Amino acid sequence: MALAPIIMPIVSIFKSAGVKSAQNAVQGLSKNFGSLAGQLGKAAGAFAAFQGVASARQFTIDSVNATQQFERNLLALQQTFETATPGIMRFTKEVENYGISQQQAAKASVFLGSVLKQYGFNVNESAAETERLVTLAQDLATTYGYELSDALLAITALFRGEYDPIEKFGVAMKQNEINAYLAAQGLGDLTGAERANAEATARLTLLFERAGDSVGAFERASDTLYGSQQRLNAVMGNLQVAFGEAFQRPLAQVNDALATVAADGTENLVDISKALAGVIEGLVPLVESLGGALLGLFGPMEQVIALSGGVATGLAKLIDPLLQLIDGAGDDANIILDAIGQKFIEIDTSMKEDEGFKSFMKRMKDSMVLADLLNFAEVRRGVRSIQSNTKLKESQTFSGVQATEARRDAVLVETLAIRAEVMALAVAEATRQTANYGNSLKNLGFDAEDAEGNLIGLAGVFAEIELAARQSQASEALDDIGFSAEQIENILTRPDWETIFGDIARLAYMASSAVGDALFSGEYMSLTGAAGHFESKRLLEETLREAFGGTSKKTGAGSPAAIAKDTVKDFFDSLQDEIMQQSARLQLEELGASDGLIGMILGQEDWLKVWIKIKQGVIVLDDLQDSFNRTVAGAAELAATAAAWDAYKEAIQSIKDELLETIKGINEQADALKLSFSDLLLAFDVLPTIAVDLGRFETAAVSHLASIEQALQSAFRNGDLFEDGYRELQKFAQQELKVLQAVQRQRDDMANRYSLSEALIGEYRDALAGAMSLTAIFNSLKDETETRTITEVSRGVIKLGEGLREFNVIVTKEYEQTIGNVTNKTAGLLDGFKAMSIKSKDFAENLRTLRDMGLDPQLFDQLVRAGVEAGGQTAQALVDGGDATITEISALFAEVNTLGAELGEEVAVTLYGTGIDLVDGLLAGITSQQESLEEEAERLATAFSNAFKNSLDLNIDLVTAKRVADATAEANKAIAAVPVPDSPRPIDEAAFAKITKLMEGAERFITNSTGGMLAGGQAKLDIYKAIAADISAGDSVDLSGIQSGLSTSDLLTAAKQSGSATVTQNFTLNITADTRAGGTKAGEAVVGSLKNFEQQNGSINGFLVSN
Amino acid sequence: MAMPTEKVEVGFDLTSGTGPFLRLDDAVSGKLDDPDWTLGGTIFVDVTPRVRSISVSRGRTALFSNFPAGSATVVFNNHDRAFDPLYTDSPFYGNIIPKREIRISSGGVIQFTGWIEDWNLSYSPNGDSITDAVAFDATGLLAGRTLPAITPVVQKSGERVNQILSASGVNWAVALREVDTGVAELSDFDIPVGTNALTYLQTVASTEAGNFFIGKEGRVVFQDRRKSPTSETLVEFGQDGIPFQSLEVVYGSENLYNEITISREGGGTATARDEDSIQEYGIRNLTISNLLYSTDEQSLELALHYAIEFSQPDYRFQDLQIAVHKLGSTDQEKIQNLEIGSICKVTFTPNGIGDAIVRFVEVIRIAQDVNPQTHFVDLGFSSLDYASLVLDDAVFGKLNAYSLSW
Repeated sequence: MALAPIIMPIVSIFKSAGVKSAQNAVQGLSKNFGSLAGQLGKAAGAFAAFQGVASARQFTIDSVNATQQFERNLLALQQTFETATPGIMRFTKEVENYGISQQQAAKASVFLGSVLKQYGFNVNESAAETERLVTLAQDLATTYGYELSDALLAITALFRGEYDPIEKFGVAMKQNEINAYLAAQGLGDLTGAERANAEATARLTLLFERAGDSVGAFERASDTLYGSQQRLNAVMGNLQVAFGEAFQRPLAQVNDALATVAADGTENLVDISKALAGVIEGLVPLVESLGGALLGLFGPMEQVIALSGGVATGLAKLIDPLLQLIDGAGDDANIILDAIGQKFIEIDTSMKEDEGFKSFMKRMKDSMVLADLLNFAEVRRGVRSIQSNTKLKESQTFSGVQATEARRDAVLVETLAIRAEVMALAVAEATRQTANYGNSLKNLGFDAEDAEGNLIGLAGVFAEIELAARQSQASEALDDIGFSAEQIENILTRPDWETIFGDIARLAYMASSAVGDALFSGEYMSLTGAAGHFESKRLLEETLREAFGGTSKKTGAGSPAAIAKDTVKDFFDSLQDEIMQQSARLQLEELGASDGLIGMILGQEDWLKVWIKIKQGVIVLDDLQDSFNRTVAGAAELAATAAAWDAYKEAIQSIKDELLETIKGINEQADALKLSFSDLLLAFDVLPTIAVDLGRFETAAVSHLASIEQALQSAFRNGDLFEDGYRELQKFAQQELKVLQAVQRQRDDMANRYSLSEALIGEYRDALAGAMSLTAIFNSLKDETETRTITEVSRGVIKLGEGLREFNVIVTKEYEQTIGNVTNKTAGLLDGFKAMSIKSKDFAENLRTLRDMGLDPQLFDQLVRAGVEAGGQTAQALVDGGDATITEISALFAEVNTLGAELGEEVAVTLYGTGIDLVDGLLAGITSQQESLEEEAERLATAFSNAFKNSLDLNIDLVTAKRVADATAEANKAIAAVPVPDSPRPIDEAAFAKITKLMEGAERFITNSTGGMLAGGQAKLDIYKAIAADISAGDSVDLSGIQSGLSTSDLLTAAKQSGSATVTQNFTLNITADTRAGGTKAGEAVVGSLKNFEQQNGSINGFLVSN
Repeated sequence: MAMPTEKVEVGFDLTSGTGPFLRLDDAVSGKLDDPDWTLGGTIFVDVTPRVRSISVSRGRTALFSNFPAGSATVVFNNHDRAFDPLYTDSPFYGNIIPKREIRISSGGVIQFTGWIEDWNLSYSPNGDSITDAVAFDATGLLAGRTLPAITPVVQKSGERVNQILSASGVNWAVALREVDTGVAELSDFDIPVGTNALTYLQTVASTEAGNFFIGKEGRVVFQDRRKSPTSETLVEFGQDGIPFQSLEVVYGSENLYNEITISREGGGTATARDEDSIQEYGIRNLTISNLLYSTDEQSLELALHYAIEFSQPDYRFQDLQIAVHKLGSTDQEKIQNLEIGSICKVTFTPNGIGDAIVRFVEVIRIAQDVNPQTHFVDLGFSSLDYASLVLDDAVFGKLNAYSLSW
């Protein structure tokens, strides 16, 4: 029995303070762990179905790990991208549609961003390039059928100068290409970090160039199964992280709780640890097999465990299975949720096979499924519903019951019953668990039995603890039902206490069902219900008799059996009385009795007799109510009722007032929006031609379109426009302004032509005039020197030896000789000028000829642009030449100057081609065109503004109407939500009598009147009726100003002052006029009738409504 | 017959090591003014025990080309990383660097003097490790030097060579020169600043029709056109001479030129034509420009000389290989003393048939290939059929056989 000394100290820890205290000791842990276990089981089951993970727990472990990884990635993201982190974070979220989960994107971004930074990119550049590279990696992976991670590795290898990995993605690159690229950029001489950055930039550029075919591959594959699967994986990846995120906090709490337990129990634990040392360590692998994968979640607790040593380790692993037992219901949830998960698989499969899959994907993307699945409270409710179909049924029944008192009582009873039932189920389950657990321990060899076969090993300890826990909870339930402490002890100390307890719970539940049936049927307890009730009672009594009769020696009154039976009898008797009272209450309410009166009746000792007399008609309920009303309690109830109605009315009015304010605000908002667009359109005007600035016309049109689009977008985002209207207006503006833009572009073109033509004419004039530059010609008139080359040649024959060999020899010598020559500069200048003028004329003539021959305009232009430079002694040469020379040069210059201008025009025409420019006489024509275009632009702009404004107003009105309707609907909903006082509103009987008398008089008057008198009488009668309606509705109306003999107008004024809410000023004038035959006569007839009415009834104020 | 004694020495700066430096209070090495025990600096260290092979190449292969830099490659055993510049325990650590002087001798006669440019290390997986020391002679040093502006006078080519070698920017030691007087008279045209010293000196040599190269002991050698061989110094190969391993004969148009055009800087152009040769073989032109003669007559003289020498095909001994390790010590010494410009006599009866062919030749190239067991020498020749007449010489004093002048 080596285990005995080990186990006993543990038991003593728990037993020393009792089971409950022991549970309290680990309460934090238990609570947190219980919560955690619930969440794990429920959500993980559903997700595991998608992931194909063998167990929900494994998925949970993966999720927690994924979340922790993601959190680390986020930290790394922050460190890597610094100030650019928000942008890259946004990117990681957005790439889900690109088939990349947020964790993948974050990891990849850190990966690439770090590399880029190492190569000298700043954080903003790194962030921008990282985004491009991550999506490129996905495109490459899609195109070439590799994993995303492969593509990322290949890209980072590329930055290191390793070109092989990227080749399998269709990108061929060599270092010498990088070198050549840098040389072409003038960066070939860079060294060190600058060189590394330049090379990385070059690789980046070439990578995107050469991977160009792959860019966008994933988007192109979006409609394929591959694309869908990738996106589904990304979505599931994000869900997994989101799922795991929910457990980070509970896990941390579990850590804290365990640390607390370890710390609190340190003293005891240390004591026992000496004895347990080594042995508890030996427990670890065995208990691990019981804890299973869930223990994997304790990874983060390693620090705590390490601090506390082996004791904490052993404790943690011992507590784990214990908690599983305590929280046994969690396994039920797992079973149910695994079933739900199976359903998800079926849905998934079926959706992949048909079009429904896409809609399912959309739903997934909209996170609706996520929201549903993460709503653990809802899931828990669902579990409970499935566990108890009866409860579900009753819940549905309750929803239709209006009698709150009955509902409350029924729920109370039902709660007790369900509590007992749940407890019974838990006990049964715990028994099963204990048995399983005991078997497990037995199999593991950790079970030990004494001579009598009782468990004394570890399994025995747990069984003992669990038994105490279950009995404690059963005790609470029996106590709630009404059993005495003695009875409870008697029951719970029996070996078959669980069976007895279960029977009590079931019978209690059956009884509650019968109560519910009776209450909600609106009748006395039905025969069936009654039979069930009494059958339940009989069965329970029988059970108790069997339970207590067999072992108790004491019988008869005062025996436990008798006490137990009395208790049950009292319990059910009280239920029966309650049932009858509730039934009476319902019927009294239907008969119109006030709550006060009902309470008074049912509160009496012999209430049943009174109730029977009422039902027999011996007592008239109305008389009874009148009598009650005259009592202090009745008056107080009436006052309270009136006050409640006043408050109700005030609340309604407040909502209506608020609605009016809301509608007013909506209309003001619409007006303001319309005004803002009016201002925008007014500000839009075509630029006048005189304000020409090249390119401004089209720019203005584009700018204005952008302003309108921006204003529309803003209005749409603010909800001032519906999407359809927004799109329609946007499309309209784009279409119309494109036309305008085209016109404006023509205007720009015209302006450009004008400017260029003007410049060309001047330019070519200058070119030809420049050719006639005196200074240039003079510069050519320099004193000349002539260099001549002199060649001397000597020839001969040399014979070698005795003439056997003969050689011809030649010696050639060359040298230069310079000869000077002085020029007559005046004569030369004149000659040069003449020659140049002739050349210019010939040149112009040749150009015309060339143009006619179809010379290329650009060559033509080049030919014209020939010219000479100016010089210094020109003036002196002209003076030396005398008057005759000056005159001649001036004449020649004027002639050539004119020639240059003409040539410029011809050049302009040649460059711009034939057609309208030539017809309109170039500049004048262009100007005319500009004016015409300006008019066209004005017309287009005005037409656009008007049409756009009309359409815009219409769309704004649509939104405004919708908003008003919504606000009204909301107000109506709010009004409906205001609780209507239970009791009918009290009526002012005196006032009602007075108004009734006035109505009778008015009716008599009408009977004896005709024409205007009749109309006036009818109007008065209508006013009286309105006031009477208010009084009937319980409104407080002051009739002091209301009396017979008032004119209709005065009566109306008095009625309004009386506080009546429903008085309106509706007069009926019957006027007959043939508007077709004579409009004037018809008008006269209307006016006459109105005057007549006023004479009879006073002046008319307000609106006229024609019928 | 045995291998001559080969020796390779490298100039190391072993001041801090165990070199033959002055040591105070030492009976042998502590004496002042003893040249064997210096205070420090570069000393030649005999590294022959580490040598695997030696190859030396000096001289030119084409007649009208300049002499390129002589080169030598010595392969060392490097099993102990002695020649690894990164190995701190090497006895030469810190000295395995470029520009170390090297000296190669055979039989006590220096065959090459130069500077090591590269240390090429090779480690094989099987543990065999060698280091190649690649060295070049002083030609490279001259090639890296430029001249200041010089205004020379009309002078002989030898004088011009000495003027250039003494010019600032060159400053070549007089002790390291072997300069002939020269025959050609050079013009007084200005030498512009920045002119490359080697290029100019080679132009002087072309003008002179002489040789300009770096000698075996590292001296600058300028030999004028006047070959002055003597029968005492004549080395004979073949019959009654030193046996050779192989002989290459050239007879063709390789050096056939029948129209020679010579022009000088700032002067005229001289042309000499052998009409018969032209008629026989077609025009074969040789043009040499921008020579430095002071007169056109000198240009004509050179043109005529080349026309005479090259206008007819000649039976020339071009190349000859000797196995030095098979020679006796006397013949080995003769070979070891050969230098570029040396005059040799080759007597050869092809296949032992007919009369022996005898040619006097000038050495223009010497290449040596030394291994532990063998030592081969290749000699390149130019013809000496028109060498100068030397009075009273048994061989070169014969009339009608050698030229008086040209």
